[in-house]
Amino acid sequence: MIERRSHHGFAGVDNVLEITIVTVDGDHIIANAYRNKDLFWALRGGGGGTWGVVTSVTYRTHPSTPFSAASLLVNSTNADSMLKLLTEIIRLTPSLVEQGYGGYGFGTSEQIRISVMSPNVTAEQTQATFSPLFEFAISLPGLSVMNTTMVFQDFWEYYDPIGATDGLVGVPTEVYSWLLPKDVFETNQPEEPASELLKLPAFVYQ
Amino acid sequence: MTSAVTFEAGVQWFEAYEAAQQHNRVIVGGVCARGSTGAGGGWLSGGGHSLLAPNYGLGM
Repeated sequence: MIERRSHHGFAGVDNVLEITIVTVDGDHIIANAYRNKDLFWALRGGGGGTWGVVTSVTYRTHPSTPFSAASLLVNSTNADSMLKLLTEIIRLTPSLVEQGYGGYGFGTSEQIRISVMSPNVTAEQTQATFSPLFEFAISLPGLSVMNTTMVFQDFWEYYDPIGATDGLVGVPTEVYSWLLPKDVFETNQPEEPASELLKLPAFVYQ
Repeated sequence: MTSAVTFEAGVQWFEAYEAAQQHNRVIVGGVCARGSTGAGGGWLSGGGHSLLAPNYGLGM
């Protein structure tokens, strides 16, 4: 994942305002930017269950807006084509993040699925941004490509079909992750992370 | 003025988003199927990655 505003630091972009927690002392306390500040800092990314039992979280909310979305599903029988496609996706990622696109990508050496959306762009802009990528994918040999762009009237229209399904949970998977700074994409050859990702049994790209 | 919402432990993301939608708001949160990550704590303690993060920041 690329943090769009990483030059401001994470603290400038927080969405959680307050957490209540039962600590190991048995105290039920409030942690926020003013009270129990050290605990509030630790709770934001410090690992589940490390600091006590969280009993509530207060989040900032944002205005509901339409979202413009794009998705791409590619099945491959050609390793070289897959490397070229993933390299192009990685090369494009900083500009997509700058345009406000966020989302998820899942991949193996044989399949890549990406689905992204942004509240800041029109359907026409999304079409213009993603058409070259879609056309590039279709031009590569050994790839089966499905692509689409669409508009969701609000976040709920996007989320409801996902939230309405019974999910696969408790999967015995060992997960590890990297948070990649933007300059990795800008100064390195994007083939390098693409090549490394395709060596993994599976990867999630955020 | 900041608008905010408080979820107690056990609230899951589909419940959180549905509640926000009723007020025409969105929250930076996780995307998961029914019956997985909790909005009140679990998701946040992993750092709060979200598809809305490029616009509104991480959850944490």
